[in-house]
Amino acid sequence: MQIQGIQKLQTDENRQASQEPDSPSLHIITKPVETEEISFGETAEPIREQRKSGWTVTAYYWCRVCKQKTPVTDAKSCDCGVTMCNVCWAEWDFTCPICESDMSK
Amino acid sequence: MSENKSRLQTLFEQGEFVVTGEIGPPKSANGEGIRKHAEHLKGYCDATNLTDNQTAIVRLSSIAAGMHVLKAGGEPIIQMTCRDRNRIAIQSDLLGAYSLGMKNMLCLTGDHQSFGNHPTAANVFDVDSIQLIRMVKRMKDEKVFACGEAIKKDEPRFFIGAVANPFADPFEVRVYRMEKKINAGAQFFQTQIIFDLERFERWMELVRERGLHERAYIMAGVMPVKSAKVAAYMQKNVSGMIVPDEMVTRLKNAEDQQAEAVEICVEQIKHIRKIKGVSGVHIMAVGWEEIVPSIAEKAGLLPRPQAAGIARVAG
Repeated sequence: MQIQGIQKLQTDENRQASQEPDSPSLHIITKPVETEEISFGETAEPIREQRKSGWTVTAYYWCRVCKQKTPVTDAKSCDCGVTMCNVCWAEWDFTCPICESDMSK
Repeated sequence: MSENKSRLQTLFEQGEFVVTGEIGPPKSANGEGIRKHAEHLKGYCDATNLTDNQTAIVRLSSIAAGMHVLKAGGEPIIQMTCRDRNRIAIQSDLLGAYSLGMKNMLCLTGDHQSFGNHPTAANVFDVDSIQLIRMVKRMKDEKVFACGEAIKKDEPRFFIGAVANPFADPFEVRVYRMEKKINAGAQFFQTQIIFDLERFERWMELVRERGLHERAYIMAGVMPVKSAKVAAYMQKNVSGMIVPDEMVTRLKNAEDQQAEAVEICVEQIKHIRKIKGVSGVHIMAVGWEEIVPSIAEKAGLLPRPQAAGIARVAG
């Protein structure tokens, strides 16, 4: 009885294996370049940060005052090092609060 | 290589009350502005700091800026951060700077790049500021590179500086950190900008308790604050700095805020000069370098002393 049981199991396994499709062979796939589109508000131009393609761009600054991640088109950096978003610059009348340079242009 | 001291080191050793200034290199390839500022500071400051991509913003390099200062007849203090270079690049730049005639350097960790104009840039921090100090000292005293290989001849013999911030928390730890830097090889210190003189005096008490003022020269950082607006901004938005309300109010109520700013700075220098253990002041006139001669004159820091054996008047 025990031998018959083992034989039945083996037969079932062989049948199951024969019904499974062949495992796919390895092949090279082409992965598309990941492109991330970031858009902040209406005034900001969409900035594309292309990755894994050998070049990168700085898409944003951190505003020193409101601590928000801001696209470069919506932020300014003074020569003395003060970096703020345009909203915060407006609060300082577009004059650098450290060196008093004109930041309106 | 024979001992070839900088003017700055010589003046400290002579026991003079030393004055240094600071120039932030431009975001361009033009060194004319640096030479102009260096000319301005000549005769009023004993040496001039050249910042190393300050606030993590790309600028003309501190070593190239140092060359412009040398050409203008000044004495540069080259700032070197750990953010942008690994130990190979740092040592290479040290050899280069010394070969060009720069003898003072200031070792800093550097602002994190995320706050600058390349926030996605990779940082390095291969060594921290204390390890950097140790590395420069070993190059000088033991004549070895960081890897232990001997420098066969002409090792760089920098006068090694470091920074200290009496206003960061926890307050007591600041002195231990300073001591670590001295143990690593720091010979002089420049502090964060001081507005809260009371806290600075308490910090100096701790410094004296540990005898650190006898092991390194301490320069107090001061800044002429152009207006009440500048003071208010710094009070609210610049970390690691304490701007007292009285100062903001005093500037606000002044008829001529710039004249008042100079007056406050002069008062601070005169007060600092009396504190035991302080060997000089570092004037950081960000974007207002032309005011330094006036401050130096009113604070009684002129004429600047001559360094024995060094003919040139530095700036």
